[in-house]
Amino acid sequence: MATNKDIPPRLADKFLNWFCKSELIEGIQGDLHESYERLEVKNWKTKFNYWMQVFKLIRPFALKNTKPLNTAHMFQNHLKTSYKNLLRNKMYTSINLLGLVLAVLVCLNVGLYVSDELSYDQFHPDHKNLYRLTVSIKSGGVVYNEAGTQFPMASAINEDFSGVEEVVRIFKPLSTPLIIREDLKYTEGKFFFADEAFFSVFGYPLIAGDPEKVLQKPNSVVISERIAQKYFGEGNPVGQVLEYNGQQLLEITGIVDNSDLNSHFDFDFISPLQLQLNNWHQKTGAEGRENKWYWTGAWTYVKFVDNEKKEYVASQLPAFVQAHFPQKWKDDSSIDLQRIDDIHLTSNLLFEIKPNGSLSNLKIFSLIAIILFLLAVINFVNLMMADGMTRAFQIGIRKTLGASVSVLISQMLIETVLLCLSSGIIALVLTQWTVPYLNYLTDRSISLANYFTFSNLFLYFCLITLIGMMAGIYPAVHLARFKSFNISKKESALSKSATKTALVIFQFFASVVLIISVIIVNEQREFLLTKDLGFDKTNMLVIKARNEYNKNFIAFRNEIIKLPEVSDLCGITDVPGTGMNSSRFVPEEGNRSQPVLLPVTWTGYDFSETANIEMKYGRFFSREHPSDQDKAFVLNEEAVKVLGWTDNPIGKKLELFGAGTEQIVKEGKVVGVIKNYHYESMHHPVGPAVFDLTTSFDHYLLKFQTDDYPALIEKLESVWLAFGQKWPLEYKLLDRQLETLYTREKKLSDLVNLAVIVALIIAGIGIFGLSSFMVSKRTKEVSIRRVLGIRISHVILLLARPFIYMVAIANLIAWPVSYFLMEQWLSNFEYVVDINWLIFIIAGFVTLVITVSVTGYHAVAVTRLNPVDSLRSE
Amino acid sequence: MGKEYLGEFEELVMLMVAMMKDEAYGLAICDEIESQTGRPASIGAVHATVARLEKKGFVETFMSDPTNERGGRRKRLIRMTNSGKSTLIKSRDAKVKLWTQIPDLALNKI
Repeated sequence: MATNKDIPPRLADKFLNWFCKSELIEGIQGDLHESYERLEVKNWKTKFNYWMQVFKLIRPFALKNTKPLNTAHMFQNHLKTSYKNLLRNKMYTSINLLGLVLAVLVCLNVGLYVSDELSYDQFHPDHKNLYRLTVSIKSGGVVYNEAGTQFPMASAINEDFSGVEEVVRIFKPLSTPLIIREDLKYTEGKFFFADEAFFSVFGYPLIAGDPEKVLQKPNSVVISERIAQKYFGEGNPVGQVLEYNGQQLLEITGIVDNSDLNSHFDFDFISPLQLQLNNWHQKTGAEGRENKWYWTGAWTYVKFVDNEKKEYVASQLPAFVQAHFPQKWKDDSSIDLQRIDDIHLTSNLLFEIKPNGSLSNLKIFSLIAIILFLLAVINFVNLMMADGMTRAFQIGIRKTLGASVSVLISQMLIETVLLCLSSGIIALVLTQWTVPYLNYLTDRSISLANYFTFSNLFLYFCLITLIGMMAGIYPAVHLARFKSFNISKKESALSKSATKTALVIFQFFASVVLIISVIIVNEQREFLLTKDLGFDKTNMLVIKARNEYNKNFIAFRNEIIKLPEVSDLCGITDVPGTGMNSSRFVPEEGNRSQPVLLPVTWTGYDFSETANIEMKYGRFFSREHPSDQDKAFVLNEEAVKVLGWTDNPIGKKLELFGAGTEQIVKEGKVVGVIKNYHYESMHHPVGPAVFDLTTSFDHYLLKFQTDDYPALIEKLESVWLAFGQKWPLEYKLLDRQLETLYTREKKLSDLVNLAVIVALIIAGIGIFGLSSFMVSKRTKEVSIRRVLGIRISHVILLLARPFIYMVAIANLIAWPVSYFLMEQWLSNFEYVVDINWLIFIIAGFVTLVITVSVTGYHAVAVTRLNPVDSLRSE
Repeated sequence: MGKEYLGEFEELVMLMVAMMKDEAYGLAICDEIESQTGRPASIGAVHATVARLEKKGFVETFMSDPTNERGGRRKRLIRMTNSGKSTLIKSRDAKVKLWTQIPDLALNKI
């Protein structure tokens, strides 16, 4: 009995049957079976052997004959006919080419931008094990997610856990330091302190100095190449000294080359954190807030040995919080880990080192690029189908001569691939000119040269070819299936293709969605920039404050407000609109063990007058009330609510904890309630705020009234220098500074604006091409109507009617979709514009106008023809 | 038509075909080559060679009657053609001629 085991593997036989010539199969298979049957033992080894025997038969003599196609010649012929086809119909070719070039260009640029965004912090060695610690603290009902952590956390992490290879803290001095070398002095915004291991943990390449040793001595500094150039020109800066804030001399121990690196941390100077710690220690000793678990002033980075250790530490972090955090925060706080290469795109916390990228913008950009591409591909498909009539004769003749469907398809595919490849090449060349513009739009320094590698180019052209094939396959199959005997019929199924209608509707749909989006995005951006923030932002100047001026503030202020252009000046710590820090407060009825964390800002007198913010109750700090100096608070309306006071709170008591201490540093009474104003960006709702009086300002806020801005600055500078020579006058216009809060929205609206223009061009030329084909088919009809006396406007209507229906359907679908999309986007903001229904009408109108004018152009051209010419011959 | 000379393995297969007269077919040749010369030959290699020889016109193939073994499949039998016969003889003569010209001494020296 032959069991399954005894017979040769069936699959192998099937395989043999598949590839082997039928006249040989019997003899060969017989031999194989005979030799197999002869074997005494049959097991998997013999089966395997059988397979091997079969494989050895894959030789030319045994293979079935493939059709003897003269591929090379056919290919040559296809190339030639494709080339001729493209040249024959110049309009068709140029429309396709223009649309594709535009679309590929946009995709290429978006691709560059996306890959640039994704490359952030990839250069650190072992970046997969490098994490940043972040904290989340809940207080007074508000959650504060901070990128910064407490200073003692680094050593605690190191002591509590094994598997932590290194911990590095980074700290940015609270006021921008002044760096002096001989007669060169600049304030430097990118000065940081970092732990000793900084350069061995992070991958910033040193062009001078040993990464392990550059930060060993407290009085050392590593500078960037840019800074080396700025202070030392061509000379060698290593070993030279720079003066830090006029207090300390720092020796340059290394130079870092970080100009081309994409990193969420961008620096010009790195000094050892020990130096800053020593300075603090001299002032406050062990009581300094840097030794306490309150102040989240440092960014802390941890390098783990491996992922397993990271997982373990992450699981232990809640216990870590319990062990170290202050009693009142323990229950509502947590620590999180962010992998370093995720920070740029995903992190958006308080106290980031610099504004990060936006993943949602990235997604929107990619989506827009894909949509534009689809639009171009649709043009392509539609035009090819519309051109099918002329092509049909060619196809018919080829068919009559015996061409198979696959040959016809391959001919048409070659044509589309040819078109795609040429647009790919043109787009690549054009990219050289668009990249600077891309850099301007995105505020990056992408260099195309970095991407010009062989493998990238290869991939690019492979992709283009693939896209060409995908775009060409539908019309090619459709046209090749065409029955030869139908070809002579003028009206073919082609002109009524449902697919074509659907594709055109999709084009209009995408255009309408883009138009609506662009209007709403622009309106929202305009709204963010112009909405009444509750304070004056025009004609306001923010001047960087300095100690020397704070000490002499009254005299300084008097001199300044003597200037006729200046209306008022006050000292502040936080620029209105840019946010505040938080401190712990205890209200009159409250408990000291459960303080409320409230945003607080310190100002001088006159703040409400200078910024023009109205009072709801009471008064702002006033020189006429000496007790204001240390016994008064002002709240905003929201803070009154958060503290649980329903009526007028004037006279209520409030206590303020010192930063990082357990001591009450101030007890005071509420003297006034100021009206809510937007002290943060419009992404946030107006929160509570407490105002306290101070004399150590970070900025001066100046209200001026003049059109001659340069003259004002000149005058201000002379007053400034009269009070001190050390610091340069640094100033910004408040409204300009506030604009930077909305750079993301600016980037988005810039790009969407551009995308809409490109989309309309692509869709427009598509309609142009399509209608020209349709019109040319109806030339005779129009001529007869002309003879019978039709009006031109009716001709336009007649020819545009099918398109008008499509526009109408597209609009009806696009309105709810874009409404939904924009609702989603607007939900990112606390304050949004109303979506006006007029926008939808406008979008519909724009598409309609484009359609009617484009088809109208052809219609008019047709009516201009002499009817005799078009009717003479049949 | 085609090449007039024989490759080494081709010659071996031809000799087997000649030896086995009307009984020559793929597997039998394989076995015979292995038993006579001690070198293994795969079925694929033999069939490929036979196909080549057939193309050169040295052998011809025809199907046998159905057999009991091999699941009732017929064998592809191989027969030598006249042209094959003369080529084989020519090849042998050429080699014998060469062999006779080698003095014993010369061969031993090598």
